[in-house]
Amino acid sequence: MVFDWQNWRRPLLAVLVLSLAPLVVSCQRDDAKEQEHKLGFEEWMPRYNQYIREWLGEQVQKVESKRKASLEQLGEAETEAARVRLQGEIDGLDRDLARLQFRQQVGDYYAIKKSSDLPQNLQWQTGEGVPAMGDPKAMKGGTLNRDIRSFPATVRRFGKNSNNGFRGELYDNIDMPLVGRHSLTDEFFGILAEAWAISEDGRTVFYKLRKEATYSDGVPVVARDYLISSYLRLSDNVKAPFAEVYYREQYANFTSYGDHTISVTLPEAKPLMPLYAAASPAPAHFYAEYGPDFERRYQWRVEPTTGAYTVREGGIQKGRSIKLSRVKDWWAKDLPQLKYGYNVDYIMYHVIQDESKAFELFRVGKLDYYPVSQPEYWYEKTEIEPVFDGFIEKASFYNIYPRVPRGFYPNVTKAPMDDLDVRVGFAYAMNVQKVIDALFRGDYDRLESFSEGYGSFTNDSIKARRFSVSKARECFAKAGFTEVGTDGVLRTENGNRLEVEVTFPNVAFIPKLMAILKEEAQKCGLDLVLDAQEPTLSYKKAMEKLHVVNFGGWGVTPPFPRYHQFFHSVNAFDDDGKPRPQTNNLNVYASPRMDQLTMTVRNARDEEELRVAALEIQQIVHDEVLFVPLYVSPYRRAAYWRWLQWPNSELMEFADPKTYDPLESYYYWIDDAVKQETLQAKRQGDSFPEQIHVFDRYRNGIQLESDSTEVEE
Amino acid sequence: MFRKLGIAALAASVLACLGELMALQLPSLRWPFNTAREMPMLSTPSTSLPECLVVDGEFLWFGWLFYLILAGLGVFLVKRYPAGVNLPPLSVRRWQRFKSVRRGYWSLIILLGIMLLAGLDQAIVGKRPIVIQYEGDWRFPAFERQLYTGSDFGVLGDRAEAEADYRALAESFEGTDNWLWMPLIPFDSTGDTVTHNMADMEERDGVLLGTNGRPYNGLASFVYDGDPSREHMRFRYRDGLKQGEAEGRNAEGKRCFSGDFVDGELVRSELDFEGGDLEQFMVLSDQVYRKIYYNPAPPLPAARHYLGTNSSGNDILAYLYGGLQVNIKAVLIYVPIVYVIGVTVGLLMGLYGGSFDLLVQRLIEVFSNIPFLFVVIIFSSMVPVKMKGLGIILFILVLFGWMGMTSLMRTAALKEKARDYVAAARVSGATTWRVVFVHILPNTVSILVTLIPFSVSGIVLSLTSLDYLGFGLPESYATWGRLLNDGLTKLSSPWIVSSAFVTLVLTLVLVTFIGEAVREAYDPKKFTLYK
Repeated sequence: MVFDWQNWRRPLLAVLVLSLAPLVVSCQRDDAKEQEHKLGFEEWMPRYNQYIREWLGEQVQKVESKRKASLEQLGEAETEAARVRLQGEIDGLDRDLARLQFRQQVGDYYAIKKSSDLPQNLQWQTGEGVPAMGDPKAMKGGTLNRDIRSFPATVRRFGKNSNNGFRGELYDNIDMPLVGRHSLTDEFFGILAEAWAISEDGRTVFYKLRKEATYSDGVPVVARDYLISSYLRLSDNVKAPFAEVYYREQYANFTSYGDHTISVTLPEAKPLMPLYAAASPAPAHFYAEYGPDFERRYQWRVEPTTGAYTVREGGIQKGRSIKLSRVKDWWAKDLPQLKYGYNVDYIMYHVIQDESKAFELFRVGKLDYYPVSQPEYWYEKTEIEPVFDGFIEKASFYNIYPRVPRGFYPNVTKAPMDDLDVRVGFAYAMNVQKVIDALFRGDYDRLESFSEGYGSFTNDSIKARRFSVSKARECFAKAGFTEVGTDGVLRTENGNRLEVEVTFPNVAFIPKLMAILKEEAQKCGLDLVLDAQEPTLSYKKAMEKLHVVNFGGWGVTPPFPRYHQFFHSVNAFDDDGKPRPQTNNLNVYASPRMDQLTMTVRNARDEEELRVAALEIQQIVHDEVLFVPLYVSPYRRAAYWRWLQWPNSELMEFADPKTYDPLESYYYWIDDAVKQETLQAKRQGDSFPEQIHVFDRYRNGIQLESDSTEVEE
Repeated sequence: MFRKLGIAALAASVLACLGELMALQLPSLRWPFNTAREMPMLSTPSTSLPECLVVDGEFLWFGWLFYLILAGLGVFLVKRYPAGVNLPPLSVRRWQRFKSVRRGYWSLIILLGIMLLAGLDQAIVGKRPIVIQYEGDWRFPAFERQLYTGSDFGVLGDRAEAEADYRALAESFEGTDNWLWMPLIPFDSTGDTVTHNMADMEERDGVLLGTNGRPYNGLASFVYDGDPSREHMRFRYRDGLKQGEAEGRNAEGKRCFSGDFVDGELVRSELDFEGGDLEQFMVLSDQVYRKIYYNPAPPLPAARHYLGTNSSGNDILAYLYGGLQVNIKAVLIYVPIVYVIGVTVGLLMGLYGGSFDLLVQRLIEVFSNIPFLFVVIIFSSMVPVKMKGLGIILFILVLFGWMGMTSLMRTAALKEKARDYVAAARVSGATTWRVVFVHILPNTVSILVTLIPFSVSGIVLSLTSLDYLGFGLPESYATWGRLLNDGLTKLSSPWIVSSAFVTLVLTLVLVTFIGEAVREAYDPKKFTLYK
């Protein structure tokens, strides 16, 4: 049979066309999507301005009605305590109202103006003459090899999963701020801004951008980028509830004046205004494909930075390593405060999951640096040949950074810790020095108070209560615990044992620490009932305020201590008078004076106001025993191969003292000649003198003139 | 033999009760009373009972009940096995066969010896002295319920009201008429940590010598004159010379001196001392170089740490001893309970068969599919803090431990119930319980006895592994698992892991050898003859 091509042709074609149709349609759909991929700031801006206007209106109404209600209650209040509380509430609401009304008067949240609109007679500051930092001996070049425990889930700067530890290495530590603050002299100096000025009411800061400033891909930084940065995080394309609240409430206005000047307005004046108001820019050109699928589309794209490092093409080996490259011809390379920093050409982050494996790699020189702050590492694991032979050097570096308030948080609503005498006795019954001696080789210091390491904001007159059997027993006796049972534990006359339940996470050395404290508390007639919990359960118990005493510590950041979340009565009780769950007021502590003080710290307009209130709060925390401090280490310890060099000049010793991790100050460098010399010595079996350094220039705070005495023998 | 056991049980009960009435703490016998004292639910508040029965206002009913039952058991055994009646010939033959396996026999003797040692309790391991003579008065702190404070023995100052620190007392008694006699290992197994130990070092021709007599590498310290627990200065030595960092601390323990040495010469120093200059700071110590052994400390016979200390400062030998006691208690509680439940259920399954059999088998399947560790984690978060301890862990272990032997017992019952003697018993009108426990059970005893050693090593291993994983007993118990864990994270202190490992393996080997001999003794092939 002959194939009848003619007859079959038409149906065949029809099938072909039909099968192609979806393809064509889908192509069209793709085009439609493509159209959504654009920055979209201009269309969005008026909408958001409108939203803020409406939101402010609503808030004003809300606050006014609340104020009215409080005023009525004040009229009816019977007790003095209630009057004080309500008056405090009304003062707070007045302040809120003033803030909102100021914002209404400011007008649009985002404004784009011409440079001629810039207010006249502003006092421009440039930070001229602020001393340099780092070490003039620093040289450029080389690769620093570091380790990370896990590969980041994304390299996006914001959006889902972006709040991982690695974001700091990629952006937060790298990006240049508008103004910097000199760590030693506390003076401001311009970085991205060549000059800045503060408005008369102190709420607006104007910044003149440097014309030469560019992103790492060479595109200049313009004023509009500062508006776009917040837009990207507020847009519906990304879910960022924190940013939503943060931008809405912490800022009042962003304005660009032409291409090179911006102003940022806050609802209220604050101390360190130029620093607080400083926002960061976002490269508009990089987000040209911004859209609803942003999180997926930008998952592995690194935003160009204004800093000295960025990830270049091929710098990401997924699951294995990330390589930062130094920006050649960086715009800020001649700024005196920065020119000795950002020295190495490449920073390699290798993923090494196992800690002991990482240490072994460091030992053979595959990693250049290893933190050895734990006594075990410092005294034992680094007693190795490469250290004796001088290939690896060790250093203790005394930094100035808020210390984690690690210790006990009693719940003052639960017996027996509701009794101040018992709390004081409890503090005396904690033999922290024995813990330090038995578990940490006597190497840590006693933590003295809740807010250590904040410089002048720390109340240095407070000393933690030292272990004392007699003082503890005296306090317990005052609380009515006068009899002694056959088990050595104190009792009241009607047979109540003096027992305190301590909740703590059952991990690492914590149970050992508790066992020692229990043993010693026994000597004071106190029975510590150890409630070892799985970490999440222990956290949950504290958050639900079911604990009697909780062991823990908070992450803290400079420059100011914060108290509202820990001690304000709003976080202590809910409207029914029950302990409020899911807040950081672990003491369930409420007092009118404390409320006033914490609000003062929160809203302080200048440093002095903040300091006075902060010092008093710390005194109350000590007197009321809301926190029993444990231990602290005042230094960071590091081991590094000898080619990794650190500043040691008039300008700086080892690292910026106001960083937590010495590597975060970026003033180190790699000396290739030393590296070659070391490697050759290693091959030939030669050695160098062993080097163990102590860098303690900043041990007792920052003295501008070094007062260390040289001993001559 | 059973008669002797009965007499021993009776004697123990009487002794324990007498001891309790006289407010004594007798080794091991004190345990039920102390457990009742520690756990509120095992005692009741009482005001009406006579003084001698009440401790801190509580009547310790658990302790009395325990010894009542033990005495009852003793009486029963004495009655059941009157004097002069020999064991049945079959049992005698089995015992002889057991003895003929020398390895098993000696293992049993060693194990019994170890158990006896563990029973001596605070008489050989403990922080309280057996006898103390102070100003002519004799006291026995280790065996008395009363706690003596420091002031009872002339201690003044801050610690006077705390319980006396007898190790410190022993030092202060030197050169006086007072004396005390500490147990062989003068440390409690837990709750008795030491911070550090020290050894004096010798300096010769400006070179500091280590304990091995060669120039020293490492850290050497000064301590405060009058308070050796406080470190005054800390130097780093290389080849017998001060090298690198040196630091000093003031009396409050704050760092106040920092200096740098190069080849023994001080090249830089900084002092922040309120009492004056460097010279005035240095005279605060006695200027004797000491090597300080921080925890974990290696074996130091001079300090009576024969196996060193672990990383929290417990004496390892005392800790091992405490762990041994815990294990023995666990075995003595766990094994009988598991066997009673397992044997009963297994035999009944075999005897009844049918739907009962099916139902229980499904139940066992369900139980054995529950992930054990999760149950432990969930339980430990639900149980109130004061109830946490050996009891709750054993409860969970029993909950999951009885199923193993049911299938064996079921098979045995299935086999035995078809035998003529069972039918004969039935015909003569015996009840089911009588058939099971009087007729079938004695005929399955060989299976049971050979299983016991496995159960014993099983429970020891379970406890150890739970503690190793951190889900086991609280810190107030000494456990081998935690010691093993500690040692494995601190491999640079090999004395921890090696002592834990050797003890564990030794115990398990002994139990296994005994099991081997028991199996030999009960081997049915030796005396069953088919014709």
